[in-house]
This record gives sequence, C-alpha cells and structure tokens, in this order.
Amino acid sequence: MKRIKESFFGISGLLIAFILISSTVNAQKAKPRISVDYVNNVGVERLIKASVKYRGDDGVVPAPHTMLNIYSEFVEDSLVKIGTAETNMKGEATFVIPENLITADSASFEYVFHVKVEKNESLRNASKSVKFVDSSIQAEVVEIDSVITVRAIVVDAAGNPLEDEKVSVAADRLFSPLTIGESSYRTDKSGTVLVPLEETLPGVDGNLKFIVTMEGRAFGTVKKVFEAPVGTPIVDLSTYDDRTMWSPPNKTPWFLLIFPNLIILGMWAVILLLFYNLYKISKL
Amino acid sequence: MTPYNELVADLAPRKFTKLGKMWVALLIVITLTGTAAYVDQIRKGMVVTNLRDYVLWGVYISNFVFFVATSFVGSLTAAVLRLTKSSWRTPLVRIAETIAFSAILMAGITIILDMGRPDRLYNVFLHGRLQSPITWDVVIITTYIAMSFLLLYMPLLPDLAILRNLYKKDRPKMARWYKWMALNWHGSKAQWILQSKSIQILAIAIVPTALILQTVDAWLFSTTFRIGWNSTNLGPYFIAGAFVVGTGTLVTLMYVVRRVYSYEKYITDMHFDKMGKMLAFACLIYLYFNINEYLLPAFSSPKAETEHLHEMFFGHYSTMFWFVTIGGLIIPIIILLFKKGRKPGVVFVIGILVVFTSWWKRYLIVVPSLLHPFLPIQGVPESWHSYYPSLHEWAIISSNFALALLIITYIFRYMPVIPIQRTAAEEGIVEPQAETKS
Repeated sequence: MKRIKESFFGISGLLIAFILISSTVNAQKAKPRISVDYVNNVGVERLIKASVKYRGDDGVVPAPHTMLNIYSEFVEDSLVKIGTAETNMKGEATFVIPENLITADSASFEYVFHVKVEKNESLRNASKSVKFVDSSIQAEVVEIDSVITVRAIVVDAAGNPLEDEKVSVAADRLFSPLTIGESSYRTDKSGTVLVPLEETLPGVDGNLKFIVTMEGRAFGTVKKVFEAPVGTPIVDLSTYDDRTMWSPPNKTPWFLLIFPNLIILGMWAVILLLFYNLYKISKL
Repeated sequence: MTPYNELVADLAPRKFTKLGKMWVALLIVITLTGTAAYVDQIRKGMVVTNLRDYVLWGVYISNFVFFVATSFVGSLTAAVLRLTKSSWRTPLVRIAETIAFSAILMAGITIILDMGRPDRLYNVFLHGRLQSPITWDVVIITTYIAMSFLLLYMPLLPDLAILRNLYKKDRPKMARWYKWMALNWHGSKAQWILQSKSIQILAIAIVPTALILQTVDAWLFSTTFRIGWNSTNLGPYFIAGAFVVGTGTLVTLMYVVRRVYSYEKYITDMHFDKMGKMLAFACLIYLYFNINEYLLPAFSSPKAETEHLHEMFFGHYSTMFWFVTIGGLIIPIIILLFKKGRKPGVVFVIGILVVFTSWWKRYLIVVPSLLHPFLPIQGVPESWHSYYPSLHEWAIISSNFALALLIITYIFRYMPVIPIQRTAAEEGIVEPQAETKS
C-alpha cells in the first residue's frame, strides 16, 4: 500500500512538473490569430486565403514565414491534411484547393476546411476553419433597349438560382476595379442582376474586363471575370517599338543611321585618301 | 651666303634659349603636377573634385568647350586663308594649324579627365547610341584630330625636305628624322601636284568638319532640357564664340612668335592690323549672339529663366558675367575699331584679355545652368548647391593648358613656324641647287 502511495505521489509529481514546464514553454510563445476566407474564381481556381497575426510588443503584427497546415473535413468530422502554405511578409498565405476535393456528387455541396498553426517555434498551436456551400456565377454582356448591360446569374452547385444575394459589378482598371452602377445589387428570383453600362469605357483593343462578385457568408467570395468587346478602343501612344531618338541602339531612327553615317564615311574616305596621297608622295 | 641660305637660316627651327628652357621646365612641372593630381583622382575617385549631383560638369567641361572652340578657328582660319589664296596668310597659317592640332588633342584628353571610370571609355564605341550627342562628339573629335594633323603635316613636307638637306652635313641624326618625316620629298612636279591637290581637298573638307565639330559641341548642351542651354541659338552662338577665342589665341601666339624669333619682317604690323579687324568683327558677331541669348529670355521672362538671368546679371555670377562681357567683348571692339588699337602690342594685350575672358565665358555657360535645374535634386547636402573647383581640378586643367603649350613649343622647336619654301617662293628667292621647286 505504501509503495502504491509512493508511486502515486511520484507519478503525480512528475505530471505536475511536466504540465508546469510545458505551460511555461507555451507561455513564451505568442497566440496566433488566424482568419480564413474562401474565394472561388469561377472557372479558374478555388482558393483558401489565410492571414496570421499575433500580438507582439508593437501591437498586433503579421506573422511572416509561418507554415500553415490545411485540412479538409470529411464525414464524421475526420480531418485529412491536403497540403501546406507559408505566409508572406504580410502574414498572408494562399492555398489552391485541388479540383478533386470539390465534387459534383456531393450531397449538400457544403465543404469545411481547417487552417492550422502546428508545432511552430514561436507561435502556439491554433486552428481556424472555413465553411462554404459551392456556388457559381454566369455572366455576360447583353444589349437591352440599346443599352449595354451586364447580366449576372448566381446559381448553386446544382444549378438552382440563388435569390437575394448581394452582387457587385466592376470593370478591371490599372490600379483598382471601377465599380459600375451602384455599389451592389440583390439578385431576383431567377438569381439575376442587370447592371447597365451608362458610359462607355476605354479598353485595350476595345475589350473590357468585367468582375462580377458575390460575397455571402454561406458561399464565401465568388468571382466571375470575363471580357467583352464593348469598350472604346485605346489608341496605343507608346513609342516603345518605334525607332526614336530615345530608343536603345538597335532601334535607332533610319535617318540617323543613314545620314550621319554617310557623313562620317565621307569624311573618313577623304582622310584615308589623303593618307594614301602621303604614301603616294613618298613613292614618287 | 645666298639669299636663300639666309632665309633658311632665319626660318629654320632654333635651339631653346635659356629662357626657352625655363619655359619648357615650367610647363613640364605644371604638367607633372596635374598628372599627379589626375592619378590621385583615378585612385580615390571623383570625390577629390568638387563635382557633385548639381554641378557634374565643372571646369573640365568648360576647358573642353574652350579647347574645341580654339581648335575650330585654328583650322578654319588656316583653311579659309588657303582657299581664298590671301597673299598675306603665309606667316600665320602654320601657327593657326599648330594651335588647332594641339587644342583638339587637349579637348579629347579633357573628356577623359571628366570621366570617373576612363577604363570604360571603350564602351562608348561598343555600345554608344547614335542618337546621343556624346557619340556624335566622340566621332567628330576623332575625325577632327585626324584632319587637323593632316592640315598641319601636309604643307610641312617641302620644309621638312629643306631641313633634311640643311642638316645633312652638320647634324646627320636630325637629318635622318627629317628625312623620315619628309616622306622622300624631292619637289618633283608630280609630288607638287599631289600635295597641292591634297591640301585643297583638306582645306575644303575641314570647313564643314569644323562647323559640325562646333555645332555638335553646342548640341551637347542645347539637347539637354536646362535653363540657358535649351536654345536653338546655341549652335551659331558657339561658332561665333569660337571665332573670338580662336582669333584671340592666334593673335596672342603671333605676337609671342614674332618677339621670340624676332620675325618682325615676316609677321608685320599689317598682319596684326588685319587680324585685329578680324577679331573686332568676331567680337561684334558674338556680341550680337549674346544679346540674342540673354535679351529674348529676359523679355519673355519664364520664371526659371528669370532666376538664372538674375543670377548672371545681378547675383552671384554678375562680376564674372560683366567682366567677361565688357572686358572680353565690348572693350576689345572699341579698341580694335581704331587703327592705333590694332598695333601689335595692343592686339597682343587684347588677345590675352579675350582668351582669358573666353575661358570664363565657358565657365559661365556650363556652371550656372547646372545649378538651376528645373527640378531641385532631393536629399543632397546644402554645400552641393554651389560649386568651387577643387585644387585637384585646378591642377589638372592647368596641366591641360601646360601640355597644349608644350606641344606648340615643341612643334615650333623642331618645325619652321613660318613656311620656308612658301616664303622663298613668294619673295622670289630660288634655291641654288634647285632641289626643291615651287
């Protein structure tokens, strides 16, 4: 009995010591704050965008070069690791979801992914999940009453229209997208929004790139990017390919290649002739 | 002694006198000091100069423009006097040709002095853009050096042959050198025809070449979008300025040669009178271009131009500006308009004044414009907003001048300053053995 007692206290002591040590070690690590978004670039790729921050001496700061493990949740809450992503200097990481994980025969078209910080030297273990229902956007430019209009239809994975979802339409520009019409529209029963293009916009070769975005808690961010030849063609004023006075040597203007070189050759022909005359004088 | 032998003895090169040796020693010391400063500049970099982000072309480029201008008129005067067959030209042309040759050599060297990494000069030839005025400048200077050399050398052949014959007995070693340089000249008709034709071609070809040289020099500045430089007037303005400095240098050297060699009977008062008139005319033309260059921007008064002009007329550079304008143009014009003002001594003093002020004129063209860029340069120390050449710079450009004078001195030491054969022909003096024919 005494030996059992001694053993119990001994093991308990070891456990307490282990807990204290591990908590002390853990206390030196920062607690990460993970945020995760799902972005569906329709027809291109599906992404998990994660951002990791922690409270440092100067407040909340990004956690660069942090390795994140990405898990997919399957039936009965089983998690399967599907890959890793490393944060950049801004503490942000992007993970491309393999196409085979989003299957058309899924029962509910609902997916859950977990992003975890694990076994990190300076951050404690942490996890954050994102849950979404697969959906899609069909978009095109149509002419309604002689007005160029962007028509976008939002549907779920089974092709059923999604009503009362918030959709915005923008034209892609050099620095940031230019919102067309109002900041956002709500889809009708047929899952459709119609956004008229009130003014013509310039585009390279007359092509405009439109970005239709639906942002909803259930669906994540769903984007459809498409081009349509409805812009005013931009006249390219760049002289990059031309032969100009400010071009590199291989694009010297023809007049500058021809006339100065002719003058130079003419002058040096005279000089060589005169040196030849000197030679002839010496031989006379 | 026959008149011919007397003439040859009179015009043949002479050994240095004691004063001549002291002069050469002084020039060598200055050249060596400058060379040491340049070696230090190569070793430590351009930091030993006071060239910084604002004034990156200082006295070196002022010197370069000065030498190009001097050389321009040297060749042009010689060529024009030959082409117009001016009867009084004979004693002057070789002096003009020598000035042209030595000045253009120095201009070429000055560009290299201004380079932080002269070892990379070959890249200008390998990768130069034909659109760049720098490339044009390198091409035209190389061409002009070759032409100036030919313009000096080609007419020398008969004289070299005369010296070869002169030294054959007494100084055979010298005679061998002259024989080598005379290219087997024996004054045959065929040689005379070929030489005359060559000089004629050269005299014609060097006129457009000299004009291109001076214009390209101006374009180095005018193609740069800077106050005081970006002007269509700059090409002719530079040419007019070159006439002033070149003629000034020529009359100065004419006087020195006349005094040192006692050539009063060859370089006469008439020559100074004519050259004095030419200098007055050059100053008048240059004054006209100066008025164009300053009055019109002052009249239209764009803000940046007004600041620049104010600095020149009333500000930091006003003393230098008015000294250059009044001392280098107006006073010479007034004095040279009078016959008494065209006496040798007076023309010499005016020549020195013109040359001195012409150098400072180039300084005024280069430096103040660089201190007034359209966009101020950010994040540079206050001291970089002004420019005073460093001791290294002064030493190096002094050696430039010394080397130019050394070249002229040595050419005059071993070559006849006044063409012997031509003078003999003009004076109707015939060589006894008739070895050389005119």
